[in-house]
Amino acid sequence: MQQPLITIEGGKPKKRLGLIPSVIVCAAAIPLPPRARIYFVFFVNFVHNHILATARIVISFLGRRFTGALIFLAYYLAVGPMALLVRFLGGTGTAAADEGSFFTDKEPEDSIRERFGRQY
Amino acid sequence: MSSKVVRSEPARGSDASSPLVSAGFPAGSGDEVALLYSGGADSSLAACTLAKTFRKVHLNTFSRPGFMACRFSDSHFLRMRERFPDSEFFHRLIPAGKFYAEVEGRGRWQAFKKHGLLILNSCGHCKTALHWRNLIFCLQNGIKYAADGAVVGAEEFAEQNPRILMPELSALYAAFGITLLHPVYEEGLSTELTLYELGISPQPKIKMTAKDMQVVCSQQIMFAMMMRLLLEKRSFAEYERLARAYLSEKLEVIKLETRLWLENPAAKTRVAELLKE
Repeated sequence: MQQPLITIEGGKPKKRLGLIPSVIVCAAAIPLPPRARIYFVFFVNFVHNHILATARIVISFLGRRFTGALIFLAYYLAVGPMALLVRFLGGTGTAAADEGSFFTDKEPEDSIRERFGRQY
Repeated sequence: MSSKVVRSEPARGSDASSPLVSAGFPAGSGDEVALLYSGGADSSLAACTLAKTFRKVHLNTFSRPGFMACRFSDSHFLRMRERFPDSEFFHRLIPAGKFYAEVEGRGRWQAFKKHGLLILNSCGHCKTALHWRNLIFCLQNGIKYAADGAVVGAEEFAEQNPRILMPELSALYAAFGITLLHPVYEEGLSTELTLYELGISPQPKIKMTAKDMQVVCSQQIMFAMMMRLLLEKRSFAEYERLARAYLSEKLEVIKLETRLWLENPAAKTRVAELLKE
C-alpha cells in the first residue's frame, strides 16, 4: 500500500512527515555511502508507506465498520472485568457515588436578582 | 493532444569525423528521439506527442537499486504501439545504478560541508544521473534529440523546475550537440485526461491509483524528508537557489567526464567504467 509522497504544495511541505522522524532519518542517512543509503531508505519507505499506512487503514476500517462491536467488546472485556475486580478487592465504586446522589438542590427562586449579579 | 513538437536545429551534430563514429557508433540522425520513459502519464503522453514529429521514438526506461517494477512501463508502451501502428517505438530497460551512485557519492563529504542537507536530494541525483545516461545513449546511437516528461506544477523536482535544473540540463545536452525537448511541459495537470482520450490509459484518473503502471521508486521518501527539514526555516525560492547551485556543480563534473569519454571511447575513463553494468 503506497501513500502519496509528494510533500510540497504551494511551496510548502505538507505536514505528512513529522519533523522529528525527518531529523532522525536525515541524520542517519548523511554518513551512509550511496549503496547503503539506498537500502536504508528502502527500509524507511517500507515502514512509513507499508507498515504504518496499512495499520492506519486497518484501524480506520475497523473503527468505521464495527463501532458498536468495539464498544461492546471494550465494555465486556475491559470495563466490566475491571469494575468487578475493584469490587472484589473491596473498592466502593466512584467517589461521586459516596455522596449519595449526582443531583444537587436548586437555588431558591427569590435569589434570582442576586444570582444575576454573580454570573460566574 | 496539443500541437506537434517544434524542433529547432540541433546545436552541433555528430559527423563522420567524430571519435564515436570512428569507434564504431552510428553517425548522427535527426529523425530519432530518446525519451526518459517511466511509463507514467506524463512520459507516455510525451511519447505520443513525439511520435507525431519523429520517425523513431526510443523509450528509455532506466533501472537502478531502489527502483521497483520497472516492467510496469511495458503497459502503456504496448498500448501506444497498438494505437499508433505507423510510429516506431523502441522500448528498452537500461541499467543506471552506477551512474546514480557516481552522482550521489562522488565528493559527498566536501559537498556536505558546502551544501549541507542538499546531499540528500535523492530525486535530484537520480534525474541528473538518468539524464546523464540518456545523454550517453544519444551519443552512442547518434541521436540528436532527447526528451523527458517534465510538466509544469512539479517544481519541487529539480529537473522539472525552470529555476533549478531545466535550463542547465538543456545546456548539458547542447554542449554535446543534442537538443533536449519537454514536449508536454505546458500540459501540466491535463496529461492524464489527454492520455485517456487517446485510448492509451484505461481511465481518466490514473495517478496514485493501481492503474498507474510506471516504475515505482522506494527512495522518494528521502527527498520528502530532506524537503521537510530544509523548508522548515527557508523559503521555496531559497531552496531553488541552493538546489541549482548544488546540482549545477554535479552537471559540470558530468560534462567533464563525458568529454573525456567522448575524446577516446575505448580508453579507461570514468564513463567507460560506469557503462560496465
